[in-house]
Amino acid sequence: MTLVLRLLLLWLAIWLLGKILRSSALKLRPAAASLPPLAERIDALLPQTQCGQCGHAGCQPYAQALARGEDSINRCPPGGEDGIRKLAALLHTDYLPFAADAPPQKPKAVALIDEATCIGCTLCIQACPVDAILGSAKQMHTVLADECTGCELCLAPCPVDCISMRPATSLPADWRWGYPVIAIKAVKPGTAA
Amino acid sequence: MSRQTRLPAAASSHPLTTLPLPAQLNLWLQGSRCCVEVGQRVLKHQLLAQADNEFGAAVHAPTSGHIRAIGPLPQALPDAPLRDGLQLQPDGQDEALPLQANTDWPALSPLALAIRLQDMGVMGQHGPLLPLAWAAAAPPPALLIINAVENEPFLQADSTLLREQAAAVADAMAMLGRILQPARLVLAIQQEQGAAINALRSLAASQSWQLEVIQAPYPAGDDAPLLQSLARPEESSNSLCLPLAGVYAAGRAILHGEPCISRIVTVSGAVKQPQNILALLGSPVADLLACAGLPPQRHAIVHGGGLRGFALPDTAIGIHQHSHCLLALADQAELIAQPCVRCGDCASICPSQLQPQELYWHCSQQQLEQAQHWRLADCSQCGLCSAVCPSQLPLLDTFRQASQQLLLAEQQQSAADAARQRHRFRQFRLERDKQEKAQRLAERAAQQAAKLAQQQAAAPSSTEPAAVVADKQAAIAAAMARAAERQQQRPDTAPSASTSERDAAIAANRQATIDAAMARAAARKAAQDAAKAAAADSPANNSAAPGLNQQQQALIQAAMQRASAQKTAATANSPAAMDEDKKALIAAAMARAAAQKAARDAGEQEK
Repeated sequence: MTLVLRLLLLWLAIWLLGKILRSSALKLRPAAASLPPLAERIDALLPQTQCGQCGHAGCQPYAQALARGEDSINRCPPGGEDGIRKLAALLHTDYLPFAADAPPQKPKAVALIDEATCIGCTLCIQACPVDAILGSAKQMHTVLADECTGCELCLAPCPVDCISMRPATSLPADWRWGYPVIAIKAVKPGTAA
Repeated sequence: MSRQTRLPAAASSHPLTTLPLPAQLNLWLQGSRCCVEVGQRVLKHQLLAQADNEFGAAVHAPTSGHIRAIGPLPQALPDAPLRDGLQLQPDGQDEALPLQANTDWPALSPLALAIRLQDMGVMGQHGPLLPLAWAAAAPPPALLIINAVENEPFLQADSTLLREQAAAVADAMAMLGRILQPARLVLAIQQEQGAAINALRSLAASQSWQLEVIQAPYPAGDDAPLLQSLARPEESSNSLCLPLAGVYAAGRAILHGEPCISRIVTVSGAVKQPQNILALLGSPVADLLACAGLPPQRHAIVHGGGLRGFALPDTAIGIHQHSHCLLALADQAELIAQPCVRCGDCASICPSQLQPQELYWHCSQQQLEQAQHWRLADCSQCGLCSAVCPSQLPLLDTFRQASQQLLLAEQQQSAADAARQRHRFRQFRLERDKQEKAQRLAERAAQQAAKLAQQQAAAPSSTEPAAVVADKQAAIAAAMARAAERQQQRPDTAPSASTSERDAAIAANRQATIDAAMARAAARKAAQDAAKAAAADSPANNSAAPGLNQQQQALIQAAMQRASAQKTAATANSPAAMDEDKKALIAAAMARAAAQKAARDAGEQEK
């Protein structure tokens, strides 16, 4: 009798445990399913310059191509090597050095329109992927430096070559602590303590 | 150079001296735009640069002289980066503009006060003494703390200021209390600043502010720990902490109209006479050190306190509003970082209860995510870990660099998010514009088609609606088709009929065709007449059109009836083209059969 009772209790305990595990598994699964699609997650890692240096029309198409496995992760110069590492970690692939045919990396810059030369043709406005250029036909154009991603897409269409890339402005807020290095000091004879 | 371990034995207060006029002043234009030109002579207190943004402050001439250069100059910041600066060569006359004291200051709003302080060049920790965004929101702060605590080694500037200018500081605090209306105004001071406490005690009794003496060790004098320790729970979210030097300068600026052109700097370390020096802003570091008597040995010049200071590579750099201390430290033998020995000293001394050795490992490996996991964001960068490290690891420098990298990464991420949003909105806008254009074109095409139809309706060919015309033409076509069909089928349908009978039938058919043609001609003529009449009269003659239509339809009906009757007479069984005609056709066929029978009978009778 006690044996039967024990078996029954054991079975009950196992059944309860199974129920709990099952319900918790069901509860946890939607968390994985609610992740955004892979292309969105890749897009979140890309620098959003929309420069098209990867050969796609923008960051989102490149992200979609990566998600489909149609392109390699080493084609984004603005993202830098750090960007490649992040993409490799997300896509569970190995780190790749920059593609040989990829354009070289450049420091961050913003476009500047020479306002004396600008003829107001609006071609750069149409080329700007983030609407960072203001102006209208036959009126002077200007770049919103805060919104400019430095994609250089406005340089080519300009018929009078009045757009140049300038390094991002140096405000006190842009100042950075340097990586600590131990300076090598030249020892001058006679001056040492 | 933050790994200085030699701390001053006793905080003996140094005398205050005034720096003789330097040969050149190197001013830092921090967030300001220059409004003078090279070569121009400026007077003392004259405005040299106006605040350019929210975080900048104006710069005034500390003495009279000529502007020698405007442009990037090395500044008293770590690694002496080049920043916008201005070189002023004093002419020694110290000719000053008259000061205009503001008597209307009690009427100032907090925002007006903040703007006036910015225009007077009074700086706080980050930008103007009163942050403009805070002043614009301007709730009366529950707690306003004037931070005079100096518990970092070597610092004495604030104590000296309190000792020498206690009454002026009290006036400045009263002014701030009157304009900002804080619920509680507190001057925080350290236990060790004895002389300053004595100077203040007599004043505090008669004033509306309290004196709080802090006993906790470094870094309790920082803004965040000070707020934490002094603010009551209900005040903690609405408190403001201001540095003492800024408050004193604010008092001078608002009560006496004197812009901020000088500050007290502690010069200490391995100098002959450590002292506090009242120096004009922009005075070269070398002049201050010479004033205190720098021995001829090689020294590391440290800008800042004993724990947080950083080495300056050059002594020609001018001091700025944040230069509270200069240290000349005898160059120790080579400071070489040794590997971490896991002694745990840094962890035990860390006021934020972090694990600096773990943090250092991750930061030096550039593993910022791991560093975040080890709470790099909580590091107050006090420098204690560097000071106690037996391996002389550059802990503080590493944490500063890593924290800024994190900040930079955050800024880049937010900029990327903004760019993504703008790009997507642009795509949406282009798509929307395309759709709107297509819609516009479709609407225009529809309008043109309607206009064309109207023109056709107004033309003389038809006053009736297009549907009626189409019906009529279809009916006419059907009639003609039937007639042609009948003509073709005739030989087959009556093969046995006699010649005379056929002739009679042909004649009848011809007669019917002629009749139909006449009917059509009549109908057309009637329609033309009606249209002419309508065109001649006016467009108001529209009421005639339905009548004419009916007349035409009646004529057509008659013609069709005639044709069908004629068909009855002529053919035997033509295939039914239309369903509605079927019954008529059957009837007609029966009639034809009867007629044929009658004709045959007649033929037999003739035989």
